Amino acid sequence: MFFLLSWLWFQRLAARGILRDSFAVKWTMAAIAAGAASVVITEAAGAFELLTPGVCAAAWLGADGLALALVARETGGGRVGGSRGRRFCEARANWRAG
Amino acid sequence: MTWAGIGFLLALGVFSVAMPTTVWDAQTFHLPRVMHWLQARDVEAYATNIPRQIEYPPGVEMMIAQGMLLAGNDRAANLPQWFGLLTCAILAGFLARKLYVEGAGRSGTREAAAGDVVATMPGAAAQSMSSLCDLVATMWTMAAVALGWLWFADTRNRFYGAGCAAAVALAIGAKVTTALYAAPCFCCWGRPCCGGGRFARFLKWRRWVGI
Repeated sequence: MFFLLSWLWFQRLAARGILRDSFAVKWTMAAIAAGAASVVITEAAGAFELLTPGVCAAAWLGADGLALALVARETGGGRVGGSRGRRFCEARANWRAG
Repeated sequence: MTWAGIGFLLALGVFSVAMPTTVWDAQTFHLPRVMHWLQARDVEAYATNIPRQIEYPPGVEMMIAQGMLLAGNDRAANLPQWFGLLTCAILAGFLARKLYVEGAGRSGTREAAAGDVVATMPGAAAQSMSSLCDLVATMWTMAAVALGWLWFADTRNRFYGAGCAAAVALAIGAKVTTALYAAPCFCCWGRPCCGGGRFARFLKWRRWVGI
């Protein structure tokens, strides 16, 4: 899931012209993000002797949330014309405003 | 890659999930290392009479550990290697297109051929169904070389720089000897950034360095 979400984020960056719009480049960047995340999660959980399925699943969910927020930010910024991310950001702003 | 190459890779993926690895190195130090980590819940070194379990870089085993933790069994233990072969095939096509950009003819044919050659290499195909670390290390090395190429062509792009640096770190974290293969490519790619005016002479050599 994290790989797909980060791939989607790099897709948005490519749509903005920040990255080369090539399948190989986006795939590679997403693979690097997933590999780095797995190393960081393992090291962080291992440092506290918490290398357990529950902790790692929670950490990956957190990473998924971070990637989803990045995708929503890119999409909701109006730079690439998406609407779903914008609606997400508006709903989050409304929820925060009460 | 052609559809035949993609089908071959998918078949390898099915085999890598369905079959446990029986490779000597995986049974003696790759997987035991992971099992020790999961038992102790940390990644510290531990007492063992097999030094390879604690002296080799741990990058790939960390990915295997995550897969085993999330799956609850060892079916995902071979997936990092299979994913490494898949990414290597994709990157081989990309590098072939970049290396022959000034050549005549259709680059798509070379791209597809490069991907198929990598995907069907006998040694790589066999390794993709094991839990070793060589294909993952190769994947990170090729990623570093590809992103290094893009970064040296556009040095102000921080995403390429960060991606290249992360790929180098992951490659060394997977297998230290990868630096020997990535360093010549960086020397060749980075020459224009160092003020070298004779880069054009290197253009005809860079494809051999890349190969």
